[in-house]
Amino acid sequence: MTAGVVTAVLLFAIAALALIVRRDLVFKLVALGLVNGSTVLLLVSLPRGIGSRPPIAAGAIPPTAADPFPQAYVLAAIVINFAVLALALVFVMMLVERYHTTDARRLEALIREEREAADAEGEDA
Amino acid sequence: MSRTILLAAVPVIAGYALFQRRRWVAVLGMGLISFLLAVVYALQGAPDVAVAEAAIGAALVTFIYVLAIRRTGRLTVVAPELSGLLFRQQGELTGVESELLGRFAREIGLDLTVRFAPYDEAADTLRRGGADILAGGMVADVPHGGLPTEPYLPTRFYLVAAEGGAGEPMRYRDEERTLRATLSSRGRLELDLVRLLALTRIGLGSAQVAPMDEEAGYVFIVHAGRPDLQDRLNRFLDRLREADELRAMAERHLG
Amino acid sequence: MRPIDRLRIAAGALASAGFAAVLLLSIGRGEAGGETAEVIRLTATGAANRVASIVLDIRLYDTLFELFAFSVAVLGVRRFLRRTAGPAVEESLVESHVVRRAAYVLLPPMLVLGAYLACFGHLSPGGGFGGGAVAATGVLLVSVALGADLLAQRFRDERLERLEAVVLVVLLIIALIPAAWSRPLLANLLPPGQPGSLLSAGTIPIYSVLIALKVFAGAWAVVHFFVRHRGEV
Repeated sequence: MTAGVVTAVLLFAIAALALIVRRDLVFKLVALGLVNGSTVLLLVSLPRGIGSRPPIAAGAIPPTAADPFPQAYVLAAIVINFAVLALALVFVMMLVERYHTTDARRLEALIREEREAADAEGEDA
Repeated sequence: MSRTILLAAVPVIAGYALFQRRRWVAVLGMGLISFLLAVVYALQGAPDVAVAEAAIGAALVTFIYVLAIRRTGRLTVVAPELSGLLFRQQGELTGVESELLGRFAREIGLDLTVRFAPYDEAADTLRRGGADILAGGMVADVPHGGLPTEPYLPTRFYLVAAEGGAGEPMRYRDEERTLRATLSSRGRLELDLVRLLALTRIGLGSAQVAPMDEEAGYVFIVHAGRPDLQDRLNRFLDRLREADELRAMAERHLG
Repeated sequence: MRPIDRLRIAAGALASAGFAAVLLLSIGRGEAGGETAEVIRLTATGAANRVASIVLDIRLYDTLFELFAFSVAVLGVRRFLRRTAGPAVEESLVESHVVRRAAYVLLPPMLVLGAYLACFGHLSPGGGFGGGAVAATGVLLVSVALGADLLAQRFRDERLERLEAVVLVVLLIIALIPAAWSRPLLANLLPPGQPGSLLSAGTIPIYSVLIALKVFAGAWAVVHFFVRHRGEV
């Protein structure tokens, strides 16, 4: 389905841009989730020339059915995306609990300060 | 055809949701997009994928994000309600503390959320981490389970004795609502200035008031795990104190 | 050592061994997949739902390791979020009685729907993943509506872990059985039966149910820990 492919590419572009541009970690994660979604959409929309009925039949499959293979890969991808996104969110939560900000730039600065402080102490000791 | 409409909506929603200010709108957008995609998959002859995407993408993922960012972007304040400092008037939150905290919250880029509760419950909430700040005319005479800021307004204590009241005076730091009743039942209370003013407005009756020697200042109590917040609040208060705004605010609300 | 720790170590060891065995024993032992589209058109596996036949038979190998990835992620969430949030009970997340009632009412249909999707996944749209996810969503609804019941659920987490561990190990054992008969791993040994009837497609429905249980338990655990988390973000 060309419409699907185009949408997938657009969605990917927008989400990838947001992933890079936005500084807030939560927005980054949401963008990542949408990148995953765009991939799923792409894989499901790609096969052309095949029909669009579900590939389910007791006898032989009529040619109007959609291709079951990409659906199989994508099913796995959806579940893994959820699990990985959940874990990523957990890490973000842990970061925030420690540094009290979701701003990526501030986080970097804070972590660097901490590391420098630790290094300085290490040298004196 | 309907597929194309649904698909066309997706980048639009994504573009809007990802580039605006509020986090929960982004999460909602993500959930909505997942849902639209699930419908598209169903129409496309991929029902297994559609069910999985709907249940996982639209429901589970959206929910865990919402659960995670529940307290985002909010400065949570818990307090016993006290006229003049932090109270509701005709549905609007007002008072010296409300103005102070409101400006502070805006300055650090958060939304202010105030929850009213009796003192014991409020202090407990702060301790448990259910709030960032404890307010409501707090005086740093006892550890409230958190970090006190510098005082933003001076006060002193008064000994109030109801008629025929005797016995050990209790220092009252709770909400205005139960002030009168507590005075009647306890007989003698030690009140700070604002609470005394509140009591006067409710009606002193034949209670006797005597100023005590003890002076103190109203503070905010910050959650123990947030020394950074305490620090920022102190700096904010210092700045206002130098500009003499604190006194102006007090006069405006307390007269 | 507490029984739950014993279980964790045992399950972890068994599961790791199982996955390693699947990996190693697949080397040079015949196709773990790769049937062509032609074969799919005929009812080679006996499953009416071709997607199910791919996910749970022809490419079961991939599905297995994807389960592995899922398990690890859930493990991670559990491990990191277990420490946060004290024992105190917080106010319920949703204060509306209507929502709470609705959540209770919706829970049984959602569980049934999830079970249906899992059991009949080889005949009609559905399958293990969707089924497990739908059932987990039902539980999520109730968890969100009754924040205060978290304490009661605290003990359930050990049961959930047990369920996950057992399911995983059983799954791996079933996957490895064909090796005993010198057949390619993960082959569908049970009879294909009459496509369209419930007891068809060999081991596919069995895997489907096992996977649904695993996904259900995992997603429930994740939801539980997220609801419990009371920190800031």
